[in-house]
Amino acid sequence: MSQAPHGTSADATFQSIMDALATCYGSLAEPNFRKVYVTMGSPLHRDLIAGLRRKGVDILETTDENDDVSNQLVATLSGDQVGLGLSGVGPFAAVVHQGEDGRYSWVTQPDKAPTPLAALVAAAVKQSGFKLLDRNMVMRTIKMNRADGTTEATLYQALFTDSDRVP
Amino acid sequence: MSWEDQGRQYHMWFGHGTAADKGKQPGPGSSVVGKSTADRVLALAYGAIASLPAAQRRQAEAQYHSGTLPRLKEAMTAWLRATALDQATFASRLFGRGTDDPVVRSLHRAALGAATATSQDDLRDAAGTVAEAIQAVGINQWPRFVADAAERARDPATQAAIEKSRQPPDPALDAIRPVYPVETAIGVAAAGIAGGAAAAARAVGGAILKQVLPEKPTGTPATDRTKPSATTSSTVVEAPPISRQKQDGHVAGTAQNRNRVRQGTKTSTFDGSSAEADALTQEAWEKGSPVPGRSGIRDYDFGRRIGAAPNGKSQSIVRVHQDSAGRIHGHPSGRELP
Repeated sequence: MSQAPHGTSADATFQSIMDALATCYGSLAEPNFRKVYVTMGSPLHRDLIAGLRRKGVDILETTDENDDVSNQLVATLSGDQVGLGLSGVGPFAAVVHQGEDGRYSWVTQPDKAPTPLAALVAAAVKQSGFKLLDRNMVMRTIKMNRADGTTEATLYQALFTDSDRVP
Repeated sequence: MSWEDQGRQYHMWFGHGTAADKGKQPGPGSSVVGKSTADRVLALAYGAIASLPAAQRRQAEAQYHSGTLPRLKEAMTAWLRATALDQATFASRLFGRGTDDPVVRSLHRAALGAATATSQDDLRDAAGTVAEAIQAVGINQWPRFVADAAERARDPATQAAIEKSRQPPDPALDAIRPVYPVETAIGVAAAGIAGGAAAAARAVGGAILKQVLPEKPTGTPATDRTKPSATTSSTVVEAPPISRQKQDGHVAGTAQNRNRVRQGTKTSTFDGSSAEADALTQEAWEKGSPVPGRSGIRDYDFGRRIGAAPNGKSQSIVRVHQDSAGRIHGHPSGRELP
């Protein structure tokens, strides 16, 4: 299991995620997913999505609650696209942009976003109170008993979707 | 080699160069018989740029330098090796699109043209068709399209399908069903007599083009999620292995399914047994369309009930997930049927 270094902002973020996981799932030894779906349908998520649409952003929802513990969205504007995951565990988000070279970049600060759309989405997500996570953070592993019998998960799996393919 | 030099070289490769030693370069009708797939792919890649309008050519050049070229070469190599696949399999495996998609049709035609090219003119024509596809996709979207195509080309199931299609035909089957229609075989023989091996090769190429690019598309497009499964692939493909634990989470009566329900995970469940769920999952992976923005996920609508949503209502779509080890699992998904 990965350990976060002490005394860093990453450490604080990691701790806040662990707190949210415990609050949402109850226990990582015997997690209960019922709260996740309530949060995914909450006004916090719906208002953010509606707000992006009001700004002219086309939003495609690809969420399936069989595997997703986040609202999974594709935002499109003027030919540019951004992937957005809004966790149902707590106020954590993944904003991912695929560049012209095909590579993915995780947007953690609106002012450092690679495109205007990525900046717009990142700013809206941040203003709604979500923490924008980076790839290094979500690749950390934790102990978590899962329905398929495995006992470890990445934060990406615990926060967003049950997949080991992370963009 | 700079882009300018490369462009000049590939112009010359097509017989349109302006170098001082032009006389040594192949002319438009020069034979390219015996050129390797790698040579043909390079000619196609650079020739496509050369066929674009000047403004787009500069942008495409920049894209090549920023990583698109190696991905395009990887994807194109697969396209040229996949010309024996039927049209539906070519479209779904290499592009995640249907047979009626104009971009796929252009690229299919280009791949066939390049694979069967016998002259510089043939290769130039194929490159021009790729340029048409670039413009249809949009120059800004082209790198993403190429990145997705390269990822699909790396898919072990796609590679298996291509290799299978390239194996020599079974003589026992050929005795029953000729590879080419009889009239085409006569045409090939006649061309061989009249014009030598190159003409015969061109005739075969034309026959393949007719076989895989009929005037009207046939079968159910892979992207059409409203129609029931009707398309069958003529290529037998070894399906990816099933991720047993995850798959059983969506089969009633299994321990994994009980675990999911106990944990409160919303769980769609297949109607049938594990074996039936496996078959549906593998068929959905074979025929499904990629879910936008989601890596390694495909949806396929069977057009009939295949399982139940968490609330018990009927579902007809199977969503399939592939993990980083290539294993897949699926579950009923999507809108609930009335």
